[in-house]
Amino acid sequence: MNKSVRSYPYPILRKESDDYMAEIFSVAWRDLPTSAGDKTCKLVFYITNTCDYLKNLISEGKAAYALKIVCQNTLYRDFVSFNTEECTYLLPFSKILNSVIITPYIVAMEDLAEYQCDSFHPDYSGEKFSISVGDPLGIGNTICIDAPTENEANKTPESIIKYIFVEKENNTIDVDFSSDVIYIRIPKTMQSIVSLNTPRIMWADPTKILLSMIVIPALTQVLSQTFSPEFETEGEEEENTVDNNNNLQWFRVLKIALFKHNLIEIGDDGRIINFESVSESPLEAAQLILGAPLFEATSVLNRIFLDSNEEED
Amino acid sequence: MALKCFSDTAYSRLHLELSRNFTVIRDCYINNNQPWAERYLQEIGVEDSISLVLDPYCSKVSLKMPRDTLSADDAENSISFHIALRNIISPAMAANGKLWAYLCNETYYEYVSKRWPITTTTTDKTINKRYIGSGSGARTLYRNGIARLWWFAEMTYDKTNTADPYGLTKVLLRRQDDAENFLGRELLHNKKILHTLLRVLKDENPNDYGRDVFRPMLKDINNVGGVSILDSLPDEKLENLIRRKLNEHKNKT
Repeated sequence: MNKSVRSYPYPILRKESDDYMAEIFSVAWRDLPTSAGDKTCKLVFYITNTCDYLKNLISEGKAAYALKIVCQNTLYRDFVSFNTEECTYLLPFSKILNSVIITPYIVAMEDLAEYQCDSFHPDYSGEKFSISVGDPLGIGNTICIDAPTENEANKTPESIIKYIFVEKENNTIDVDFSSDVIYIRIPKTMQSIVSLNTPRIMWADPTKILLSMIVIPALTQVLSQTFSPEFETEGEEEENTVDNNNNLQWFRVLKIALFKHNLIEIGDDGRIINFESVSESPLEAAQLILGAPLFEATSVLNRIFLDSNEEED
Repeated sequence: MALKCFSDTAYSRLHLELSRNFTVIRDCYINNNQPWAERYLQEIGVEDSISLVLDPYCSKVSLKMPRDTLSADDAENSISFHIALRNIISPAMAANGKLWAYLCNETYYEYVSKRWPITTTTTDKTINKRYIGSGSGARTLYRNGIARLWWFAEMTYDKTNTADPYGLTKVLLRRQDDAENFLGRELLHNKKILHTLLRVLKDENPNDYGRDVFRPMLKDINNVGGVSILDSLPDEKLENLIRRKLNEHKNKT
């Protein structure tokens, strides 16, 4: 019997030891695609366990498969147990950074007075072990994954726009896009009307009206100033400077949105090579990437007016 | 106040300056009541000292200035800091040493310089530990003068206790030494284990478990966790184990 890795006073199913003869406990994984707005990454784990004795313990609830999930950078440590051979784990993007280490286990869920298996190494033949709840019975292959990040390709332009209510005497909105997200600065006097929690008014979705009144002008200004013709190059050698904003999240998200609507061209190196459509009509570009809210808002207002007329009649 | 991060260049230059021009940097800390690092970096040619503005409209948290007992208001400061920034800073952001270095050296310089005053006997390690940080990893997070306030509260925030979600933060920060010992152990990064341990300690008089009890107890629990998977224990068993270990070590002294 190989004793070099033995650190438990009873047999454990793991690749590094021969405590169990010819049995396997291993785990494979894959990540599922995320959708817009997802705050978590979906990881699916597939268990291979060839040991019938351990399988029985698991089906009887005396043991379970388990995963310890650790991100040392963010002090994230979670533990999940399950009794199926497939498990989906939701890893929150906001709680992990750089790398995540996952250790699979088979763990005792209750005390086992007579832990004994025919697959034990012959040196353990006939021996029975006393196992306590929480003791590992199997240790799988450690999985180290690059910490997934929220996919910016799935982010909507609305998600990188925030409202901030400020004291303003002239009752006008303005926009600040010097940081990672775009801040629309709205006078406090408008706070009660412009609320992100504005409820739906019957069938009407007031967000379309707010998008039209507040977001479109702000986004138009951002696009106009960012994709200004002055940033274009005249010679072939030089590169335009639009991509200098690439360190800012709002720019990266808008870049993807504009590309999806064929409003810009992106070269093989990922830099923007043509943004004429945006610089020529930032207002139109803003409407397109927001899903034409002006059109929607007009329909909403139209119905409101029609309904109020009907009530008067 | 804006929530900003030092740029990579500024951050690595601060480290470099600390190792190469230690006495100059130390004197800057000794002689300046007001933030000086950003200005200093500009003077030595670091033009872009800020890489990212996380939130330009974030309100500055009003921290209680340290009194005779420097750690006396740690819990209160930790809680108020976390309440203010909990929805702005995520753990992934809070693992960024450049954010905390900026907050220590600029936004909350006055607080940090009073909480960890720099004198002519202060070493470069202490300055690095409390004001700058090594960039990543748990140690930076719970030793940096401002990061620790956020992380102590983040790790102990108990949403199940709606009446007092920061009750365990107060237990953790009864003693600074305890707090750093806690977060220094990976096992206790599991909030279930950490919270259970703090709930057990909550009922104890801190005078009954001094450093000579506390440290060996944590080491012992850590050793048990090296064999058994404590993360998997049912709540009651986990609590019994911790209580037993605490009593064992109390009886030894």
